[in-house]
Amino acid sequence: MFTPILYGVLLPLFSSALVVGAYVLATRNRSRRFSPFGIAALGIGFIGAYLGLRGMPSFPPNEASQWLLLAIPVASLLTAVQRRLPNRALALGSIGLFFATLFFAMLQPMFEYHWESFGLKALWLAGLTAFAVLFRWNWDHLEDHSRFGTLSVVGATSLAALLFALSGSMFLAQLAGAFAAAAGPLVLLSFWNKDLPVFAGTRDLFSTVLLGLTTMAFFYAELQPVTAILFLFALLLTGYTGLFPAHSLTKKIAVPGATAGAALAFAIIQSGF
Amino acid sequence: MSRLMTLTALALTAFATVPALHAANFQVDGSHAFATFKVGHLGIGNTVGRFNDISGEVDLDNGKIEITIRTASVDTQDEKRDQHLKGPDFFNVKQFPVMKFKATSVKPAGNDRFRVEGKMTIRGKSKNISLELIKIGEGKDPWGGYRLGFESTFTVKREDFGLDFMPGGIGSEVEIYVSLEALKK
Repeated sequence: MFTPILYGVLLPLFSSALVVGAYVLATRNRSRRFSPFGIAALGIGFIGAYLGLRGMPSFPPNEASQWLLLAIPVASLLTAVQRRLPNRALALGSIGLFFATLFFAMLQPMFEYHWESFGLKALWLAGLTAFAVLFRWNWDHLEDHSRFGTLSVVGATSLAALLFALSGSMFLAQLAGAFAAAAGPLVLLSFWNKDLPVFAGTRDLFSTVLLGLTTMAFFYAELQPVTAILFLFALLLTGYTGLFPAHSLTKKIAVPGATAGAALAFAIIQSGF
Repeated sequence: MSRLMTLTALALTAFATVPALHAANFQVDGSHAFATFKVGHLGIGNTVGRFNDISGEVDLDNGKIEITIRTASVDTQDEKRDQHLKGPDFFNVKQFPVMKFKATSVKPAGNDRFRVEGKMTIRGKSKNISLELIKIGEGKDPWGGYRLGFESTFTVKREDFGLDFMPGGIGSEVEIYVSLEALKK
């Protein structure tokens, strides 16, 4: 019983804290700008948790969660690439290409065993990719140094962990929880130094992990459509709060929080508790 | 010459209908195919379950045994538990709809027993296993078919197939009992 806590919470929490601590020490006497430390903290924490919980994946991957694991370093590269692209349209294009490839790989069993017509396959793939691009673009509304942003990452993945646990998959819940634990030290850092662009490096990894796990919970576990839609809608609304930076935290949280609460309520009812 | 040919043809026809028929190709009769499993629970008791959808082909003399089980047919007499077993924590049935056993070698071991080596594939992970197959009997059924019945009990480690959820609560070794009837094609 200790194993899930060790690998699902403690390992990502402490490995992330180590990366963040090393970054703070290494940049003690220098101005702190964007660096890949946030990506490293989240990526190492999540990959460590996965390997601890599930062991080494096969290569090439033979199940959706292994594709998601493989997507972590690619998403990290995506963050670095986007910063060098000359315009926003190209950046969104690279995000679209990344998510289309990820969903195509993760949904292979659906293509092979469950969806027969080409139209249905294309519709799902296009729909999910379009939503992922909208989702990822939406979180750009939150500023790079937004403390609300890092807090939202922890809140969203913690809620996802609850929803997945109620939807019949403790493994997916543990992975979401592990990501939340890895994001914990970044929240502390964003509160310690509010000018640090901590949130900047988390967007791609956060979107990848959250949408990847939600996709698995919906197609391969028992996450119900109403819960999934409410949950994702709450996250879209969270991104939109970046359009109203002057609003108080209470105002920012109110609508997405209520929507997320409705998602949780549905999940509890549907699980039969 | 033509008499010789007629005699040869008659002899061949007679040989082909001799009822030592497990050399022929048999198809598993899903209505009389059972696969149950038993695994420790909390170190206190056992959980027993079965799979209700089994198909396959058997040809003992030619060393061919191929059994396919639909993972979504898992049944432990508890709907909630079955849902969990079907999900990503265990059999992950939407990603891995079937588990398979394919024999690589079938050797007679006397007294209607066979030593079978083969590849078991669950959750996309394959492992070679060895088991003893016991022929229960064979013969004509009342509907004009010809049947072969056999059974086997063997043990696998669930972690070998990626079924590693709840390492403390659920035992590592799973005892599997299979009883099959197969109909001559």
